[in-house]
Amino acid sequence: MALRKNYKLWLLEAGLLIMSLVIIVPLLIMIFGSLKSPAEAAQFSIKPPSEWHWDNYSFVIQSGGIIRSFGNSTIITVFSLLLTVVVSSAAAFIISRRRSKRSEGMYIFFLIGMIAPMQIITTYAVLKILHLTGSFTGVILINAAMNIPLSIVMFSGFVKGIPREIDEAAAIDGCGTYRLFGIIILPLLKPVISSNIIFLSLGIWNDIMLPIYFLNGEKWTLPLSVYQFFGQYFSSWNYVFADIVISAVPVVVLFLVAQKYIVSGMMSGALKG
Amino acid sequence: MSKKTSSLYSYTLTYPALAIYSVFFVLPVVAGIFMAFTDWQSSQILNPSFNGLENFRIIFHDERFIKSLTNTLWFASITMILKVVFGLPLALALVKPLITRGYLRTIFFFPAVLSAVIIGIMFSSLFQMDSVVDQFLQFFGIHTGVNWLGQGDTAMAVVMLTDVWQWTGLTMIIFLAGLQGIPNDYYEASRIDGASAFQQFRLITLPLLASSFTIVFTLSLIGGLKVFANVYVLTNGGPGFSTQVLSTYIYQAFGSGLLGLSSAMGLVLTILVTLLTLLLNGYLRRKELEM
Repeated sequence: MALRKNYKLWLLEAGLLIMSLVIIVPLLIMIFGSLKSPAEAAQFSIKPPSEWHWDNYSFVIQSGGIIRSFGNSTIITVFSLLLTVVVSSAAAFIISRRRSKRSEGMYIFFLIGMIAPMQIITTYAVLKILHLTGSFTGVILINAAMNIPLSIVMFSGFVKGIPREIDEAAAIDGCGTYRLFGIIILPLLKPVISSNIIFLSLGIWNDIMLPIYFLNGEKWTLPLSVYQFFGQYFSSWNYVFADIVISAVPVVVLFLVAQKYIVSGMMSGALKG
Repeated sequence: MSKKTSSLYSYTLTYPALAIYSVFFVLPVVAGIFMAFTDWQSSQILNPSFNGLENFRIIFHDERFIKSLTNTLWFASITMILKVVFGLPLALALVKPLITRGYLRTIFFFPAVLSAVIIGIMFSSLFQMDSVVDQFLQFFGIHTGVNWLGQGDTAMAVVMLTDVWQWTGLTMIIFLAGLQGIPNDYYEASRIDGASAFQQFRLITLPLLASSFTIVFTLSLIGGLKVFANVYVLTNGGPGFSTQVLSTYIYQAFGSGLLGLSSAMGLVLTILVTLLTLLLNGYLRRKELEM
């Protein structure tokens, strides 16, 4: 009996390992392709390069604007997250501590944003009126606006688990609203803030919709610069592959370092969503 | 309490979030509803005039719009179903005590962290004429000679495939979390009662995964209806306009300055997403209760 069970498990494991090739093979073709000569890369075979062309990478780094767009992506992602986390946690703290018609109304008002998608055309007009088109500020504000609803839901759930006695003790020690929130509550939110950041950061980093509508080539993000590069060098697959591999490095490094947290962050975000 | 509450929990702290969310999300959504009924154009951006249902008359007589609407619905439903068809068995297999379990979970989840642009370009290389996919099929003696991205139906299939390839792993992770929440005693007890593996799956696993199903279907549906990058990168709506979806068509209308018209299309997309999400959620929650 035990033997039969074991043999079934072995079979399952072997089958799954073969299936995982569906993910691995395309990635390998890309990595190998990024080190081939143009002619060899265009054959799209899974064979390793016959000559290793590391110079593909130096060419891409020099010509692709990849460094600048990496900087752009970093600016947009970091500031969008910062803004979202600070304003959402502050709002969530008040909304879940107060039990009034007003705070309930606010909560429902924020919930609308969980279902309704944004209206890109009128968003563009709002940015134009405020003279924010083509600026990082505009994209950062929209990212924050889109992600505030989910963040408030996530943070509110967590704040409910923080005992009110803490607030009262702080009040006796002479804390006002701001000090209570900034010095006492915010540090306690660390676990939920990290899952929130993980859940949102991939979406913001990988998004092309906002930058394509609201930014020009100068300020384009990493994924868009990859798309632009692809349009320019579509016949030189070795360069295109090298460009993709470089642009994937930051996310892959983050993934390998923080895989456990990414999966749990994705989970808690999805559950709240 | 009330006096202390009002001084200790000042509403001022909610204002920044309210302001950003109202100006950059709610205002555009509300304005979008009005602008959908105007002849708004980018050449006279501050001077739109009301034109009733004209925009809707135009778009629903526009075969390209109808095509992008049906494509969007096809894309959303097929990818939603496929992600479950592949993701659920993977999750069921990866709760078992396998030696390489950790590695397999990582590999299957990995595509979810990549940008759709990267995946789009990658698949565009896999599906070139005589590329990897053709070589693979030839190995089994199948010569298709199909120009995958050069004809409508296969191009649409490739676009769907990129999305399924990217998100099946996330679906698997959500089901895994649901499966880990099922107490082992249930299976023990049913085994003693002589339930078969299939009965266990049907009577224990499926009902207790109901909330995971709700999450998976909702996330996939919303994501599928809003799809943009996959299509934009892989086919840009072509060949012809056979793979056009709502988001890419709106982007094109925006590019030609027809803001009122693209707002009307945006409104159709908004109504579609909101309505289908609420309907699906209502249906699934009822199902959850029945179980």
